[in-house]
Amino acid sequence: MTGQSARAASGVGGRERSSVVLAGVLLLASFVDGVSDNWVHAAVLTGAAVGLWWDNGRRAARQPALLERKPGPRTGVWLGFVALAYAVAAGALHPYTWPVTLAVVIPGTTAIVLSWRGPLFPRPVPPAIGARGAVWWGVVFVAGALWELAALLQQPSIQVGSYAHPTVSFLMDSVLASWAGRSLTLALWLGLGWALMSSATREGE
Amino acid sequence: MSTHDVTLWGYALLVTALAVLELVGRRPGSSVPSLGVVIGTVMSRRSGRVAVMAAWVWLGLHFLAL
Repeated sequence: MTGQSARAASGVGGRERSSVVLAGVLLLASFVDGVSDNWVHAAVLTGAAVGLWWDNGRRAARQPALLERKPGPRTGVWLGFVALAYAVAAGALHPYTWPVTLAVVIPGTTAIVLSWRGPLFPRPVPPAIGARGAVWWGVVFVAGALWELAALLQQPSIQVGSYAHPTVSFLMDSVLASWAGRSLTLALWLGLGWALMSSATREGE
Repeated sequence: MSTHDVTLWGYALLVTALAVLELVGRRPGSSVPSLGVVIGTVMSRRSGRVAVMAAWVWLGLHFLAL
């Protein structure tokens, strides 16, 4: 086996492993959401997991990026205005109802489908990161997840919050009680989605 | 100090740790990558892009939807 073909084979192996691991993580998260009676969340996560599993190992043709280049500041302002109007309109809907669920699912599903296709616009792949540096981020995110889990497990039940051991969701309840709070949360969520979509790159798939 | 306060201080400490890591990551020649570089690297593969966006959708559903 030549060095190039060995690298290619190793790349395919790494891709398959990461897809299987991520599909497993999504299925596990889906199961936890399902047993917590959050069936819509579980359905979205299961859909993404099944999609990853199905797609694993396929050699789909590379599609060009949706946009030729990153949108300029003027387009950015217009997009921001549209996102803000969407957030204000959707924030007026009653929380935890089907209309607001659709208001989240529609942009969410669109973003997943677009990210499946490839990056939104061409962007250089960042330089390789060292394991030592990446570990620090992993430590903080895992510590955050464990802290949240500890608060969750000290609630009276999984669906009843506790003032003594507040989770982030419990703390957000007072923010989400008002139209302004919901609109602001939605606007920040849409902004985060755009920032993530804009961060996407593409190496050999 | 109540358990409520301790929990909030824990969250504050985590946010501070994220901010410090980001500041360290933005220093030239730092061995710690910035969060943007980490996310860009994760999202250079289709599986990473889909997983990150699925996590984002879950966040929106969790706080607002059914």
